[in-house]
Amino acid sequence: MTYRKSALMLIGSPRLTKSNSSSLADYLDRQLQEKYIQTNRIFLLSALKSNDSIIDLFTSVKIAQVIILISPLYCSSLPYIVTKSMELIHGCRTSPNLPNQQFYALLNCGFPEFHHNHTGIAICRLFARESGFIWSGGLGLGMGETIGAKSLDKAGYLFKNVMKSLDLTSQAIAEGKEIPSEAVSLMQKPVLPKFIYKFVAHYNWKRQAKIHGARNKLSDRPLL
Amino acid sequence: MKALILNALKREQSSIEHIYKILANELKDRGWKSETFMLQDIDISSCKGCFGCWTVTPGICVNEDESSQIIAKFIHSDLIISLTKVTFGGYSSELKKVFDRTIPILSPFFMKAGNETRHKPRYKKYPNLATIGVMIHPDDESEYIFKTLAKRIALHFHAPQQGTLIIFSGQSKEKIHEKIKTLLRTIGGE
Repeated sequence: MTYRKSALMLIGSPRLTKSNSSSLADYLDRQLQEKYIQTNRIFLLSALKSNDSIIDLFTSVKIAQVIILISPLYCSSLPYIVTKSMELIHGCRTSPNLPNQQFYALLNCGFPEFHHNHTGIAICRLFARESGFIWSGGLGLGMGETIGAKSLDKAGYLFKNVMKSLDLTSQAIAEGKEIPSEAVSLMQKPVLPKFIYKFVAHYNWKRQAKIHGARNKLSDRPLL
Repeated sequence: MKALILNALKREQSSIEHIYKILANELKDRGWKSETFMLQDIDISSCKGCFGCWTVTPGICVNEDESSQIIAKFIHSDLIISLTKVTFGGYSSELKKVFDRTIPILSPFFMKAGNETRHKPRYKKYPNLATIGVMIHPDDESEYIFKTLAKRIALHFHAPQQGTLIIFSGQSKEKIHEKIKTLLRTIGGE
């Protein structure tokens, strides 16, 4: 197969393959490959394990034509492992003749509202600017926990807007364009009505706590 | 009144080392009891995103390390002051690692707050949050994102009051002192 270009997906979730970020990456990966884009994936938690893996990260970033960060939102911004990776990547991009490399970001948060991702996307934009990448747009998904680290296709109708958004995004990546506003809007559409999402989320916390024998301790204040 | 300083400024950055000293002295002059964690010296692991702090041992992270001490002091302080280099408009990785590890002090359950959803407080009282960002050069976009992030984190952690200050590394000690005094006054540090 002759590839048109290469894309590196950086996964920012510490939950690795059992993460919603990884599920989003799986779907986008398939779309990119259908468009003859060679993909490579790096889990940033693994990349930070040793000097050798950090050097591998640098090499992969250097040779990719497109970089796509796919990450959860932690505390209103990017998780530590993403921030640390950005600092390291920034530090090695000192050459005045950096190649034209596009940088895209796809963030997901567990809150029902997509707008929690805005600050994280703004940080990605500044990172791209300060590190010599071409900022090509960011997507923010709310209710990310509905994915449950499962395949988007299998959930069918529930993620139709998310998948459509990623279809449009993959097309933009293939054409070297910015993420279109339609893709941004589709990703922002609620996956479920807010009250149902909250009900299910609360039910899930209780169910998981029950499994661990902590059902009656959920509101404990152990530090008092 | 108790203050907890989370200092993520690196010691080798000698041009900004004095910022911490000015802050610590000012708190002392105001009669505050302060304690500092030099984040560069602390070896804590990053959040694994397992939610064990909500569903296995609610309120306590399942991965015990020095972060447990920080979290305990966080909730028992009246004021948290974070010192960080402004990094792409956000917090440096050292400071972000600490904030990522503080989610046990929140409840997993949601609450409505204005036009958005947040996590319910686990405790009745939370400290005020002050954030001091250090920049080498002025950059409006970076400054705006940093201030927005600090506000959002303060909302996230139910801080009754919050304040953000940007210091440029070339600023005089007098100017920095004046700015820190204003910040402390703003968030009830008299």
